[in-house]
Amino acid sequence: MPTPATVEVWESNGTSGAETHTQVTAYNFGSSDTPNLTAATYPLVIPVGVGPIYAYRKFTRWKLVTWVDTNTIDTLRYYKSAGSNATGWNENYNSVAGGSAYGTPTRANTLCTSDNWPTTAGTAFSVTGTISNPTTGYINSTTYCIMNVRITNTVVAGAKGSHTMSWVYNES
Amino acid sequence: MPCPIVIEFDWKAVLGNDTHTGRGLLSKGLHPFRTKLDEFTVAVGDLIVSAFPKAGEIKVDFQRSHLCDCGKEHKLVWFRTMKIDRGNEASNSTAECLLYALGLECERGKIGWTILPDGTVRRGID
Repeated sequence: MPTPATVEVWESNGTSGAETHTQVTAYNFGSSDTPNLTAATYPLVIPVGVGPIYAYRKFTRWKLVTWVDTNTIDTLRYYKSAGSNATGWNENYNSVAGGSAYGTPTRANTLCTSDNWPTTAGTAFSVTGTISNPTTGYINSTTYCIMNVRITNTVVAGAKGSHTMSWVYNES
Repeated sequence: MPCPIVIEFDWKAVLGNDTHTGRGLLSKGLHPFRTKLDEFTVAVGDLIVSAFPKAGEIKVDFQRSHLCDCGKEHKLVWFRTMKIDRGNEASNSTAECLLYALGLECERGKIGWTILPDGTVRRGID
């Protein structure tokens, strides 16, 4: 009987020190610091000038929920496994080695200063974190995956399609 | 709750005079002894893939043998890589097993084999 650990992807939102944490089924960017955001409710407004304008950046962690026969989980990394960018729509991420600490999400162009999410497992971005049985909780407790998107005035109004983010880890 | 999909392989571990068998990952009782194991063998279809931490040796099908001569301690490498996808669909919540890795780790790095879920075995650990 297959018995992997149960690992979930969680997003953190709100003011640093009083942030809230939510398991996310989607990773939607928009004009609000909201988990599982509905893009139509919080759209990004096309800039009048060239732009760009940014969404609220996202802070994400892996969370270990249930152990079965796994001893340790480590080697965390993430990448974009599917999806292409529409004209005028692009991606940013934090490429500080190992990840960075939480900070109140804003739309400022800081923290996420690297362009284009990694797109292959081989180039996936590594985040520091390990957890051993029987401890449960966040695997990368203080080092977050931090991502954002931006648009310029060349973007065409409307939904920009979906991307698939893959969150990878090793079980031993 | 996620519904993980994982392929598991039967294994045999030898520690001194004791032989242990199992399926999937190394058992909790043996995990602390990854540098002390005499042998760890996994059956992948008709292939037999082995690592010998104390000897610094790995084998596939008893034919190839790679001896790491660093003279330092070797630790068994036996893990599986899992992947969770998140798109914009709420149903996308299943963990997937991408591969297993079997080999040895020392100060020079990792040597060994990658085992794909379809039973393909290739040299190297990513």
